[in-house]
Amino acid sequence: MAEARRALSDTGSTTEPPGPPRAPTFQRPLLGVALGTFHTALLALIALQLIFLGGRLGEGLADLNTLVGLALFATLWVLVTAASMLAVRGLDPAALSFGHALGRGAWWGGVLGSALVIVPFLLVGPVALVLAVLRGDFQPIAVGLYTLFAVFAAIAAFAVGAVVGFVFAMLDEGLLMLSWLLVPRIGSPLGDAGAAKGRPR
Amino acid sequence: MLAATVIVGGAALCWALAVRGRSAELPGQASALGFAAERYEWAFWIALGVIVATGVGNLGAYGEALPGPGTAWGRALALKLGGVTLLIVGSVVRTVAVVRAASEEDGMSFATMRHLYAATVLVAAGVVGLAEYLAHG
Repeated sequence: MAEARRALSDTGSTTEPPGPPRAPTFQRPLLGVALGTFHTALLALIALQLIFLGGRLGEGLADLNTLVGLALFATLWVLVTAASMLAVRGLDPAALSFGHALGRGAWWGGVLGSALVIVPFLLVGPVALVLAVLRGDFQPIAVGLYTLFAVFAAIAAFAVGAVVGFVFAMLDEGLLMLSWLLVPRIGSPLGDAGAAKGRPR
Repeated sequence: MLAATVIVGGAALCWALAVRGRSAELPGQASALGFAAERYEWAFWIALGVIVATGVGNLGAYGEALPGPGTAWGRALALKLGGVTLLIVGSVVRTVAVVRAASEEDGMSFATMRHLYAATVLVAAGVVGLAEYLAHG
């Protein structure tokens, strides 16, 4: 008996006549959320494994409790997911070619790394400036050094973020290829062979 | 607990829908599976994020008192972390397949869906079992 091959093609009946492809309004955010959560969770798991196998779990996580751990992870989760959603923006979900994903991954990883450094600087700097003025020990050279340090830190963070983003993009690409192998796309030689002969894939 | 229930129960539901689809050409079955699978993928990743977040926090809270990596408990924890890694890596493959299938005219076969969600149920259930051992011995 022939299998239903439209298990996920749309939410309508399989007896409907074929029409134009649906506008992909739903799937692309899902891909961004999935990859963002995947990257965040994998980073946390790798860090935990390394700390635990090094026998420093108590020491390494001494300042964490459930609430702080949750807040830190949630912050990282939101930021990485936002970067992942921006990285997959513009990709065709029907083709899902990640051929140029490596460059996007490096770029958005770098942007995220810089943001993680610049935002704290922007939050702390003005407060410190106001306090210094109020105390009457404001020194312009300190502002210059602070700004210079922030710029160099942001550049270094961009480089680190770009490397991490590139590695994750490579991993994503590998998993995408694995997905292609396991679930051949209709239109690919493997998919066409099965479809042309009318047999279930 | 709720997040783990969503992950295992949702995958089991999708698996069951895919298994039922094997027995007959049921248009309604394809719709139900497509509907469930797309929403499950959203629920899975959100639930997974919640589980990892609370897990990191709990390890921090109990970190000082936890047995070392050389103990049976430590080996179980390492195995559990490995299981979660396997689950999330495999789930990227599954989600990408679902996203692709939902964007194409023909989607994917019930057999493929069956295998993807069966693997998810088995690995996730194994991780839950290890979590139960770690919590209660």
